[in-house]
Amino acid sequence: MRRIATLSLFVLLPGCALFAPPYDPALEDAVAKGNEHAGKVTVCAELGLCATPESFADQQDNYTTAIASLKAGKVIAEGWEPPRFNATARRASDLIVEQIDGCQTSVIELLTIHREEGLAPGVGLSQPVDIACDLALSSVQLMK
Amino acid sequence: MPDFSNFSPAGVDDFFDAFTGELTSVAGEWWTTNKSAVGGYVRALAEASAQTQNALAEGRISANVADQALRMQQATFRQTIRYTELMQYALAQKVVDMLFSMVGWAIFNKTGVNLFPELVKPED
Repeated sequence: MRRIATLSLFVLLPGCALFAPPYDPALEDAVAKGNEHAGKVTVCAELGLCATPESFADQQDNYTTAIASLKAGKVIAEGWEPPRFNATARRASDLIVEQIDGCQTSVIELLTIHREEGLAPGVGLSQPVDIACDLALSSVQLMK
Repeated sequence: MPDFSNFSPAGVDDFFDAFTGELTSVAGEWWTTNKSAVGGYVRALAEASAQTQNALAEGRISANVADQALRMQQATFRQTIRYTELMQYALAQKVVDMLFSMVGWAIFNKTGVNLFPELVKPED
């Protein structure tokens, strides 16, 4: 009896997400795609090619691809269920969702400014988007 | 919170130095631990804030855009801090996986029984 108890304990613990969710390549692909397309917009902004509201039309595809990919990533990340009674893995999973959300929110904010006033280069708008999205991708990759 | 009412940095380096100086005094332990991982992000955000400040002063952006930019920088800075929390969990998970794969291999090599197939993957 004791042996079975010990064995089952060992079978339950390892490979288990005790502190963080497992790595998911589909999640990394989705967030990487979002990151890539957000990056195309910030490059356009920093090169001064996105300075007018009219330039938004050319970037619309990048915005929609970025936002759609990040949304898909969020669905994957939110879909992960930690083992029962596992508060730490739950917290880590929530943090990953939050990181993806941070990237998505910043892209949407950039989109709004772009449509209304254009994106002037060198005014501190690109860095928060680049960093938020870089952090989102790094968060997913941390689980490797 | 220190008094920043007279804070008027001359440039990015000035801003960043002042900022990391304050970080060290307010959250020294956090900064020392995470400097190597997120120091680049903190610097880039400090640079962004300085750019926004200059662009507004030079009339290159509206007050509305400056306000939005600062909000975005603030949100991203908060995200950077939360990322360092996630790093701790990822590290803990790596340690646990390493420990159990050591135990698993030890058992497998002695008995041929693979208790942790997720971690112990012998080649056929």
